[in-house]
Order: sequence, then C-alpha cells, then structure tokens
Amino acid sequence: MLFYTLINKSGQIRFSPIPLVDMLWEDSTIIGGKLPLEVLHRSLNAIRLTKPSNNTTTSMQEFQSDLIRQLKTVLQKNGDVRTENIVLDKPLFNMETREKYKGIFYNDDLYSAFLSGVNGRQLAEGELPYLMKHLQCDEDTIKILMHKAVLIDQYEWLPAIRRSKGNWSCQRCGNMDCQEWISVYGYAATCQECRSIGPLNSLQVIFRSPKSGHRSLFNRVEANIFHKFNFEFSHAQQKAALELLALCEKDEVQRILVWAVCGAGKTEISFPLIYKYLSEGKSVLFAAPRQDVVHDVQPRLQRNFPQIKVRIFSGAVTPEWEDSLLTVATTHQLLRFYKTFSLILFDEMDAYPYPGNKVLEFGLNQALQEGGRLIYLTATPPDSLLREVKRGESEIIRLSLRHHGFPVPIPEWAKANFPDKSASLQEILKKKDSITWRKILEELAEEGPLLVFVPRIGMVPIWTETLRGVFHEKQVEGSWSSDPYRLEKVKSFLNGNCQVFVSTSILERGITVNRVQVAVLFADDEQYDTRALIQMAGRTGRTQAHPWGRTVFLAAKQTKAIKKALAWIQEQNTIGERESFS
Amino acid sequence: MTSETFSKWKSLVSQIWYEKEKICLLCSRKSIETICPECQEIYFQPQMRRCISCGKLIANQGTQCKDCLSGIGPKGLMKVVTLGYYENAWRELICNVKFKSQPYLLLGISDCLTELAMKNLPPPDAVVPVPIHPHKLAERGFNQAEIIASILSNHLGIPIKNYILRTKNTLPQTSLGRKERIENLHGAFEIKEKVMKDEIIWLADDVTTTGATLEECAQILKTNGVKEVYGVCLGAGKEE
Repeated sequence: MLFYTLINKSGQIRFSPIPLVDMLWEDSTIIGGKLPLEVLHRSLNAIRLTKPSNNTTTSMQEFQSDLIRQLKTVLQKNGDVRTENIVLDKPLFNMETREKYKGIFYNDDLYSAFLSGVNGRQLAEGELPYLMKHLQCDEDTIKILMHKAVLIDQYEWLPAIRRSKGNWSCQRCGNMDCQEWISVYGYAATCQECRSIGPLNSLQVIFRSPKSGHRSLFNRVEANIFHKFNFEFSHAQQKAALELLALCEKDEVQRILVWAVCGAGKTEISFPLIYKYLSEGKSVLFAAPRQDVVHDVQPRLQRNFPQIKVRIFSGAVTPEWEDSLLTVATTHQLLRFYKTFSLILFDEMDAYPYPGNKVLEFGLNQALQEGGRLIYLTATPPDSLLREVKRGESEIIRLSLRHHGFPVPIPEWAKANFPDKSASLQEILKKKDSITWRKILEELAEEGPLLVFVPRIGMVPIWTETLRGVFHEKQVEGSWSSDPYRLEKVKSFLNGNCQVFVSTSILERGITVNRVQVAVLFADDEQYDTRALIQMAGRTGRTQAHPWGRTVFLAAKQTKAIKKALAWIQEQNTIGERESFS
Repeated sequence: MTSETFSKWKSLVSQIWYEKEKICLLCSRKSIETICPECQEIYFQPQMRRCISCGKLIANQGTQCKDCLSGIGPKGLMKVVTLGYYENAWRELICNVKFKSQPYLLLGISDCLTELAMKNLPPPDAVVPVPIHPHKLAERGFNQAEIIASILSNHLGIPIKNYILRTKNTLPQTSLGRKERIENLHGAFEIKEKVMKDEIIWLADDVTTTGATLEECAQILKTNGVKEVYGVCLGAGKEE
C-alpha cells in the first residue's frame, strides 16, 4: 500500500493511503506522489522543518514549498528512489466520490462490524482481501474504514519492516535478520521468519491498535464456578484449580507454571480461571505450539463455554474474523495479534517448534496485554522454567495425580534390532530380528488402538506400509507435520476408524484415545529426548474407562534419555501416590 | 581464544578447503548446485524440445507446437528459449519471487539462465525487459523481468535498454483464454525511448504461455527498427 503526504492548516503532516478521507476529516492538501510508508517515515526523519510562525496563507505556502523541496532532495540525494516511479497522479475528488466516501465514513454499523473483525488484531496487507470478503465490501471501503480508525487515534499504520541504523526489523515478528533487496525505492527487505502466515516486506504496512482493547460480553461471576462445566473435577484437580484462582488474585503474580503429570487434566484445571476472566469481560487465549493440540482443545472449550464462540487460529483453517473473548491458536498464529489478551494459557511450551524460537516467543509476549498474565501448562517443563521458579520469578502448582487417580503406566524397554533407518519395506520385512518387534506390536494391538512413533518423517510411509503387511485386518494410517491429509487422518484415529497409526512426534502430546497402546520404534534415536519419551508414554491410560495401558520403547540399547524418562515417571507416580493420601 | 573466534576461524578454513554445501531452491535438499540435478531433470525437462516461436515444451520432434504450426502463435520472434515447465515447485518459486517479495531468489538461478541464453541464442546488442505497468511497479517495488534482464546483463556484459513502456494496466493474463489475452494486450505497450536501428534484442520475461505478451513487445520493437527479437523466459507451458 502506498501513501500520500498531506499537510493541514496548522502545518501538521500526515500520511494517508486514501487522502480524500483526510480531506473530509479536516482541511488538508496533498503534496507529492505516492510512496511506501517506510520511505516517507525515513525521509521525514532526515529533514529539518521550521514550523510556520503563523497561520497566514503565505507562511503556510512557504512551509509547504520547503517541505516538498527538502523531501525531493532527500529522496534524490540518497539515490534511493527512482523518481520516475513515483506515482504522481492525484486522486479524483468529484461530488460523487465525496458523497460515496462520506456515506462509508459515517456508517456506524459498518464501522462497528469492521472494529469487531479487527479487534486486537495486527493486520498485514495480504489479509485485507479476507477482511473485505468477511465484510462484503470493496478495497476503497476497507481503506476508508481503516484510515478512519487511524484518524480517530484508535489504530495506527506502521511500515511492516523498519530500517534503523542499517538494520531491518520486522514489526510483526521482531525478526532482525530480514533479507535485503533493491527496489525502485532503493533498499527494501522481506522478512523470512513470519512468512508462514503471509509474506511481508518493507514496502508494505501493518495496521494495529497501539492500545490494549477488549469488550465485556458477560456481566457477572457465578457463585460456584465449578458447577458450570460438563465434567466432574477430581479432588486433586479442584485443589489445583482453586490454588490457580487464588494465585491469580495476587496482582504481583504474572507468571505461573502448572506442572501436571500427563493425563492429569491440566487443561480442565484452567477452566474456572478462564470463566472468571470471561465473566469480567477479559480476553483469554489458549495457545500451543502444535496444531493437533489446538484442534483437540477447541471443541472441549466450546462444550464448556457454550455461551461464547471459541474461535480457532491454526495453519489448517482459514482465519476467523468474528470477534470473541476466547481464542485458541497455535504459537505461529499469535503474530496476528497485538496486546490483545489479558490471560494466556500456554500449553506444551516445551514442544517443537517453540523452544529456542525467538520469533514465537516474541509473538507470545506481543499478544499479551500489558500487565496480562501468562500461565504455562506442561507435564515436562524445561529446565529454564524450573530455574525461573527457583529464582521466585514464576509461581508453581504441581499436580502429580491423574484425574482418575491411577498412576501413569511405567513404560517398558524391549531390545529390538531394527534395520537401517533408511531401509526399504523389503529390507525391513526380510530382517530376521523383525520377529521381536512384530510380536510386541501384535501383542499391543490386541489390547487396543496402537500408536506407533517413528523418529523421521521419511520413515512414516515406509512403516505404514510395513504395518499394513503385519495387520491385514486393521486400518493402518500414518501422518507427519506437513501431510496435507493430517487433520482427517488424525480424526479417523481419534474416532476409532483407524486402529494402527504411525506418526512422528506430532501426536506425542495433547491427544486422548481410549485404550490406546504405544510403541516407540528406534527409541534410542537422538531425536527422542527425555521429555518426548515421557509425553509419548503419557498417551496411555488417560481415560476413566481404561486407566491402564502399555508403552514399549523399542531400541537396540537403553539410552540416558530412556532411563531418565522411566525415573521421571516413577518419581511423579510416587509424589502422586503421596498426594492421594493427603 | 574464545569459542566465538574459534568458530569464525573454523568457518573461514572450511570455506577455503571445502566447497560450501547449498540447499536446492526447489526441494530444499542439500545439493552442490542451487537447483539440484534431480530437480533440473524434473522441472527443466531438458529432454523436451521447446517451440521456437512461443517457447512451449513440446514432445514431438518438430520445432514448433501445434498452435504455432497452425499459425495462431506469435510470429514476431526469431526464437524463444525457456528454462522449465511452469508447474509445481518451479511455478511456486516464480510466484514467490513475484508475489511474495522474494526477488533475491532469482540470483540462485543466474547460472542456469545465462547458460540457457548463451547456448541457444545469437549475441544481442541489448536485453530488454518486458515492462509492468507503473502502478504495479510502484506497489510491488520491482519488475521481475528487469531482474532477469539484469542477471543476463551482469553475467554477459550486455546493456539493458528499457525501450518499452506499459501504458495499459491490463488484467492478469492467467485468467484469460488465448483470444482474450491478445485483445487484453492490444495497445498496452508504447516505445519509451529511441530504438537503435537494426539491433538484435533479447526480450526477457518471467513466464510465457501463449507468447502473446512477447509477441506484442516484439512487434512494437520491430516496427521501430529492431532487426531481430529473441525471447528468454523462466517458465513456459507444455503441449499435452
């Protein structure tokens, strides 16, 4: 989007993509042609202007001429802009256009619908066609509505990527390592880090509100919020939920770690707190690094908060434009929000791709309102967070007992010599040692649906085929992160249509399947650290109806990670046992 | 020695001793070239001939596709050379350049492109990019055809001449059929600066499907005194 420079009667300079709106707003004059906002900001910073001493026509004209002359000099001096490329044609401002624009500008219903769609969002130019479709309006209308929001100081235009002291920084994701190229306006840059949610370059803008904003939908807090949900809290869950509510009463507590064993029902623990926030009209986000977790949690939240539409943002679904106080999103999608949420519940924060990803961390903090509260929910907290707790920077709530009161089944290790990881189907089946793992997998599959983990994406199709050869009677499927049919396949496993599922780490967290048994092939692979193994083992015995199950780590040797995972689960069970008697 | 200094030295030494491993632009696998030999085979399809009139990939042993043989293809160009079949990952790369602000990706294919033009076309006096409309250029910030032309110019020392101006902001050609494409482009170009007489020109563009854009530009150049026009494009359609 390109911007015109405008100047008003008192010498104030403004940039606008649709200057007729500014002229309706106040008496102002267009000077020069259209340029990217980043170029205009940079040029304006490089010039020195003396404000007109008075409001006489002569002094204003002198001021305008001085501004135009200096802007031209700056643009030409740096050799930045190929001036022949500046679009000089001024927009037509006839009576018909004026009336049309006025009609849109003063249409309060349309403006309310627009505000509801963009509430808390930071919009990139690439998202505007979707917003136009949602509001069923044309490009001019959307620009008028956006610029109206800027004129009344509710929103702002920002160059999507800014250059300062030779460095480019993306305003959406905070990335400082943007790819530079030469445009007709001189140097420009493209952000490589957040392009998965739409490309962004320095010639474009983003639109967002600098202020935190939320609207109240509920008006009162129910007296007994534990009776609001469609499940029964266990004693341990209720205790933890109350502890969480009590901690959130303290203003100084901004970060809380809920360390709950796999299958403890940690998501549900947060429901009373979510209810409290919603009752106060505060916006809540449930975030997780994985799509599968997000798609599993959204219907659970929707069932328990039927008064409100729980909107979902993930790479697998088209972004929603209906405003809501309760949002579920993957961490990548958080870059679409700016200072939006009073409370963020961050599930599985130790799951790939979040750990060590500065852009995702930036997005999470950016989506949180100033003074907002961040709650981490995990069964396997990273060491850095545990250190934070030790230093007193975060509070901690521990829940070591599963919601049904049974311990987490302790995984078994079975020696298995697999062929090479790149082995073909024939090689896998030919290998004599296949008898061992085949026998174990057959045993597990007799007990219930079988979830088989492999460490590499490339192994999924081969092992899916292999297991189809082993389990003739069963439906065998396999999936990985970039599989286009991932959502459908996972659904078929969750609803029982598929009985054997081969997967990479995408299903190591957040899913519950009744009677599921787990086999981790190549469990000694470097890909599997202690936390990943604990999470995979944590898939078994999660339901009240079947609180037991088997996990077998199949590997040539017991690695440190395997030994540590076994010890960790054992320790959690011991603590849980103690809690159950307290 | 700090570990940072050590790793800098290590990286410098390895750069001297070992050829740096690249990532294939199309399949993201490790490769010694910016487009790995497998992808070159899949997307460039070197075994297929190109129609000399419109650049389309053809399976037959002739020199022209059916459309050009039947006389409905472009007539103003001596020859059109195209790097690959405009589909799948190759199409995605060109779209990433054009619509996802990644013009720098074209640097990765400069060797393939230069080799293609050098091996198949006579030496020109200038390379001319197919222009885009000034409004589109202002919004996008670059003209992909101009980058292709500048790659050829830098590698081969041929001057770039912006002889043509696009005066009509036309509809995207992809949404139109052959007849509509020709009508859409009618009167879309003008000569911008004085053309040198009897020059041989390479006309550079990103994609050609029916050859209508190349033809319109070639006709305008020839009317203004250019002797021969050759087309160089990254992607082209394929005759089924």
